[in-house]
Amino acid sequence: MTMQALAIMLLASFLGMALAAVVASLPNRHAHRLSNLIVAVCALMGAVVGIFIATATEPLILPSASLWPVFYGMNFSLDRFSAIFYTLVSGISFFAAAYAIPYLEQQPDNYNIRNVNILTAVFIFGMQGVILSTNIFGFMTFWEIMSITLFFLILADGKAVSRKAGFLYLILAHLSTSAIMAGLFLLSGGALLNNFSVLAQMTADLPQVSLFVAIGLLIFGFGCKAGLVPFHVWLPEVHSQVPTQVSALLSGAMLNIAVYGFLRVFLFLLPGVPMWAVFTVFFLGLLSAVVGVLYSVLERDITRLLAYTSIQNFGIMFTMLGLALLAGQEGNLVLAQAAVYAAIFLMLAQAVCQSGLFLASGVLVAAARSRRLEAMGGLAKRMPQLSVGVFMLILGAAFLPPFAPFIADWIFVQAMVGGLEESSLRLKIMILVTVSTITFVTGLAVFAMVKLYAMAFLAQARSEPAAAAMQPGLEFLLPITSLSGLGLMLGLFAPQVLNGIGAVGIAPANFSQQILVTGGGSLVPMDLALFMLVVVFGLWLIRGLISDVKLTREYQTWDGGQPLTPRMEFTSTAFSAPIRFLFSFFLRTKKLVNVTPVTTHNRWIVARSMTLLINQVWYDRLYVPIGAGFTRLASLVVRLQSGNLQAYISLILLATVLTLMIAL
Amino acid sequence: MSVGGVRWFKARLQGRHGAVPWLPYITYANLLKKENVISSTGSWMLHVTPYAVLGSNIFLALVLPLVSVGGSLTALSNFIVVAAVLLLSSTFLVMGAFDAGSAFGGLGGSRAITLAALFEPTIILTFIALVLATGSSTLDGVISGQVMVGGLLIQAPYLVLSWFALMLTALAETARYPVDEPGTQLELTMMHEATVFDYSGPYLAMLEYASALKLTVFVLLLANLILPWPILVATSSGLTVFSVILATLLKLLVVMFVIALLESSIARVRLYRIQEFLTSAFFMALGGVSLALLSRLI
Amino acid sequence: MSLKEFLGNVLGLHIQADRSDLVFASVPREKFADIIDELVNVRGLTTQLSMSLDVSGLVGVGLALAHLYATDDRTSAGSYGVHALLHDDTSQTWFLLSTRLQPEDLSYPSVTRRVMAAHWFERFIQDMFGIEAVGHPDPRRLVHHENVPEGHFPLRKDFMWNAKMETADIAYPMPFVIGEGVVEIPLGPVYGGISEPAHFRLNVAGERMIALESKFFFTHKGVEKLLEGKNLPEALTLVEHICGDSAASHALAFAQAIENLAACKVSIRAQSLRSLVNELERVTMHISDLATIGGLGAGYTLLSSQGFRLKEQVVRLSDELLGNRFWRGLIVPGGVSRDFQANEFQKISIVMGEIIDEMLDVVSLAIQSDGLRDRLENIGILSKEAGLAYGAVGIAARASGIDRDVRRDHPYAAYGRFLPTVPIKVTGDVYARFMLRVDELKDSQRLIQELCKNPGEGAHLMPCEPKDGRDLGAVENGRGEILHLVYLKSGRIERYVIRDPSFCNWPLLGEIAPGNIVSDFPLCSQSLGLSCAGTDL
Repeated sequence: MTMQALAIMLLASFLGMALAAVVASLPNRHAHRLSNLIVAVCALMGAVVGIFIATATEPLILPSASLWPVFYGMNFSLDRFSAIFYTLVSGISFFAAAYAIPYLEQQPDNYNIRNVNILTAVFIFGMQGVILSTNIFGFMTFWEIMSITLFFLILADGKAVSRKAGFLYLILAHLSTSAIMAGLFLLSGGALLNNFSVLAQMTADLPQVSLFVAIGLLIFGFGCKAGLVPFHVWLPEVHSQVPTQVSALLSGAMLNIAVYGFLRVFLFLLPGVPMWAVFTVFFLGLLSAVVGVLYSVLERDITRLLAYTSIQNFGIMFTMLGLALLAGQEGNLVLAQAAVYAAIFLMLAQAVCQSGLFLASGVLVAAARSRRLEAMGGLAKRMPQLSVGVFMLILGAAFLPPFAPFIADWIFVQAMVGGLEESSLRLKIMILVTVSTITFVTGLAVFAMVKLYAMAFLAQARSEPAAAAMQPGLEFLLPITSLSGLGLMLGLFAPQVLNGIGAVGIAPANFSQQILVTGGGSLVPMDLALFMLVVVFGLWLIRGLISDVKLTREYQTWDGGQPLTPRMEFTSTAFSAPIRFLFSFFLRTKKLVNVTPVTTHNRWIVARSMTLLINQVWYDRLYVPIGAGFTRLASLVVRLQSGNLQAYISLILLATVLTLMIAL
Repeated sequence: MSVGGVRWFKARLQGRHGAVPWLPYITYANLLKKENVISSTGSWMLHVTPYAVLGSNIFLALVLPLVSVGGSLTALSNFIVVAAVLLLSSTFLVMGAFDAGSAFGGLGGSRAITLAALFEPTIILTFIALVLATGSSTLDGVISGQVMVGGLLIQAPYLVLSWFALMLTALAETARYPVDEPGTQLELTMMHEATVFDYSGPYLAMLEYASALKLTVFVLLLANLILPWPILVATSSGLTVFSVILATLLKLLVVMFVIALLESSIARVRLYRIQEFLTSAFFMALGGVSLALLSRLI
Repeated sequence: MSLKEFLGNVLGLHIQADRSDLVFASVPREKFADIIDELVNVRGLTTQLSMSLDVSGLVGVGLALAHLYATDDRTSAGSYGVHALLHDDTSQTWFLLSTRLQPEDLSYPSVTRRVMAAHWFERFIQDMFGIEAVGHPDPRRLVHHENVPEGHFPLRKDFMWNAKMETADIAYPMPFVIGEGVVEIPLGPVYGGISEPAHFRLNVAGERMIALESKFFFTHKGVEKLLEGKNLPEALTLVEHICGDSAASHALAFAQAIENLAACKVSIRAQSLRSLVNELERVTMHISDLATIGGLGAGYTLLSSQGFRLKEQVVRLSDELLGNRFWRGLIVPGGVSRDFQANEFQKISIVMGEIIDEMLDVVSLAIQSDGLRDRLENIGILSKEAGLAYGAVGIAARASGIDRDVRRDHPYAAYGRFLPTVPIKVTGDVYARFMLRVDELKDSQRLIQELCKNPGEGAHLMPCEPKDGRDLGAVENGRGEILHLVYLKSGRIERYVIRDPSFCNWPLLGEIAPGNIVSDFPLCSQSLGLSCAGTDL
């Protein structure tokens, strides 16, 4: 395909989102379907263009766009690096839009469909714009469009919890945007319209102090957007309030934009990353991975569980990037490259698995009429096709072979082990810490995912709506199962994919077409999968030969003489109890048992109730004190009774003032 | 074979007669003939679990250097893949346990997956020590490199910590003392038994065989780390095949005796005491890696 | 002030005394519950009643409610009777308080409103007689399961013992803990191992039990009903078969009730033999319980393999002496069915001495193991307060510091001559109950030696003619206090009331299990050492 055609397609896929937003606002009853159709088609086009560019040699520059007055001062282009992200964002948007058509039609009471459609289209438009922009002005403008539309999407269902989540998000999004803006201001010296490539040459001459401040601000800014601990508190709240397809977009696309920003700045703009920053990124990553996985083990709300899984995955990604930076500085380039590859591949893999799981969670929540895992159960019988699709996603998200996340994990661990011997003592220690932590996290990820699947799909239904659930239609099944298929394919064809994006510019390719080789080890995912299949198939044949398959009878589960009820199935709370206990020093969950005598004078006959308090350590220990401090400050400044909203507003004001002070 | 052997040794050690060591095979044969009763509560998962669990363990038995080294499958014995396949088998086992909808399945499943998940770092670290000592990323390479020069543990005595870590992992993975009690009848204290609670007939035979196979795999792996020879290689003659079979039986017997001795002399720990077991295994594995690294420096 | 004076002067009751340690009184039904409350919960009466009472301020340090039962006296008095049997620890006196209910209004204010010990008794009466305890905090069915239709009251006289009932489906709700994520783990009534049928539901949110609910009476046999109309030899056979491991003590309680009623004499030798067999039965039970707790519950296999071997030796001794393995067939009203010879005494003394020594050796080896002590200590704690409120008896009571033992408090058989020492533990955990059994085992060893050395003289059996009326037999066995109340009318049994210790102690499980982890549940239940046969009479 010619560059010309690609450029037109790219422009269409980008501007198409704006068109979709306009269409969505039309007072027509077909507006909903039409706008989502436009989004889907444009997104698909974008993904195709992205794949072409990612494997091409030349970047694609869109010169015409900057001529338009709307995009004054912006330049758009797609190089091999950003093309990966463009493919990802567009690809996930395609599935989200396809899913949104039936999903929103099911939810007319919860959401204003028209607004959600407009906002979603603008949201995707913003994300694409961030990737396409080649200067700070464009980058920040679209970044802000993306951030603000998400805020309104959170408010879309108009509930009080949503408002609370929305404002929490608003504060952190504003802080992060301000920090990024200030950081980029410092780096560019105010030259907002210069292309990134020009900026990269300028940063080398920056004074140490500004570099120090800028890097700190940028780590905070991007880390906050990517949901790194301890700036992650907004993520679970937001995930549980936005419409499902936006959740998928959030986890599958927007968090990756933060990674994109981080890599854009740290790999391409900065002259070199100081050691403290490397360690900060590394430890924030490790912390996020551990905290994310522990809370996803604990959570009983399906969307929050998945949100913590996102946090865990981005934690692993940042660990990989941190180790890559460190290894690069130590001169261990093989490890550095492999770690970056692993991070990019994990990003792709996690986007596929997580958005698939989020889309599936929408179906489950609608079926059980609750986000609580304790209200689901037994859905594998009610929705067999969906259950198979989700099971594949679960195995993927649990880092089990032969799915894509496992491949990323394999590359990383294998490269670390291979690089262990030639490393300095410092790197050796870091590698050992990382290997232990990452395997710990992936192990517990299995726990969390087994829990999610077992609670939602297996055994008997635990609530009436779940017991009456119906198989979802093909319009729901297709997006979800295609994503699970994609997760499998991505794993099986990992060598080809990595080879394709090999010359991205971050690192030279050293993966051949069929085989992954790194750190002294090699893996052919296709062989692995085929051999597993052969073994199981052979087993199936043998079993058919040596025992009578027809001699099978269905009978109730053995109940010991008293009938089993759904109350006797293990719950998510009970399932995670060993982990709660083993990590109680950190998690500090509280089990409150309330014992009330049923009569006044005999205190031995009692009724008991129990609540499990899952403390948000970060929220209680970090945010509440800071929030309280700001509230006090706000009440001083405004000299009014400290209402919550005022506190928020003054916080935003303060943040802006601070930003300006730092920037100027 | 290994399960029956351990039982027999244990009975002897406790002064009982004990059943014949090959009793498990008779049990499997009987179970295979029986009717397969499937819980009506469960979904397709109940039918997939036995194949997946036994399949994963057969996979391990085939790719790991147990009686032979070399061969076409060796590339798959990459240590990360081996650890992941172990976890995969636990995952399916627990899913199957849950699907029947009984409280015991859940109880056992929750315990089993906790152990499997938390042993992951230990397994990987143990393997890393072996990989470092031999420079090969496949377990096949780990063993095959040492066939002619005596066992790895003899070559590199500093791996003794890793060997013990692997031993503890083996005990945990195969649900034996001190984390589980293979012979218990009390539903509340079960772990592995509770996960296969609602299976019967051929499926139960498959799951039980999978668990026994896992024990054999670990036993032979442990033995081969000390003394791999004689082991089948691509060029082996008929006579070697015979000696390998004999030697394998002997290896099995010795390690089974060790396990039986261990099980008879320690009491089962309470579930919440497992963290001590876990952490000691982990630090042993970590120590093994550190020693392996140190030995390279010197 | 003595109990009698207090009852007469303070409460204004008309007291009749049959024996020195047994007094009766009758009150209108409105006052029934209040008086029991007054006597049991001792509000402001502590000093008046006795100076030696525990004045620590705990509830339930007054009289102990030993039993609450009903009688159908429509033929004789045209009414139903509800009777409470109370025990005063200070004066060692039984006090039987009765009230009459007219058939047209079978209800009275519930005792359980304030006295926890009446909990199961009142539900039992409700199922068996259709007498309603008004205001009972937990008025669910107890004995009747889902399949028993409404309106059938087996212990009423007009219910035929062989009557066939239709199969019904009436809810038997089990309370559960409310809260997100709570699981009810159901256990039984059919188990993988050999176990009596009882159903437990462990409410958990993980590994720790939040509450425990139980359901019994799966094998309710209606022994009390079956005994009605039987003559004494027939009755004795049935009574001996109530519960396999306490055949001798049930027989002894039966014999004592009959003898008390008819004021029969029993020779010193027969008394010694009765005490001897009582102690032998206790030893059998304790060895078995120790093996079960330590071996099966805590997984210390040496204890179970050795313990069950030794228990087998004891029951073989029974087989040799009595022709059965249950210490059955020796005790009859008026004495014992056969005398033991000198060589038999010698053999018992030697064999039992060796067996108990061996058991004590194994136990002392076992408790040196930290692993075992760790499993037993601080598990399943029963507070003294709860023990008193629930009316705990036997091992469970004494391990929680409640000093009650019928052998000492109302000496029967040869316990007047050979005083038992009554060991007491105060921690109330599984370890306390375990060690209490060890201490009692030692004391039993001493008593057996002394009884064999000096069994006394006299005819082993003296004639004992039954007399009409009612009386009480109380026996302490290895499990706790067994009470038999017999109502005789023209030489046949009019009503027979059995209170097995298991019936009193099973509810304790719901008190001691919560807070422990699931895998310690077997220990909690085994340490109480209860039987379903005794409960499902």
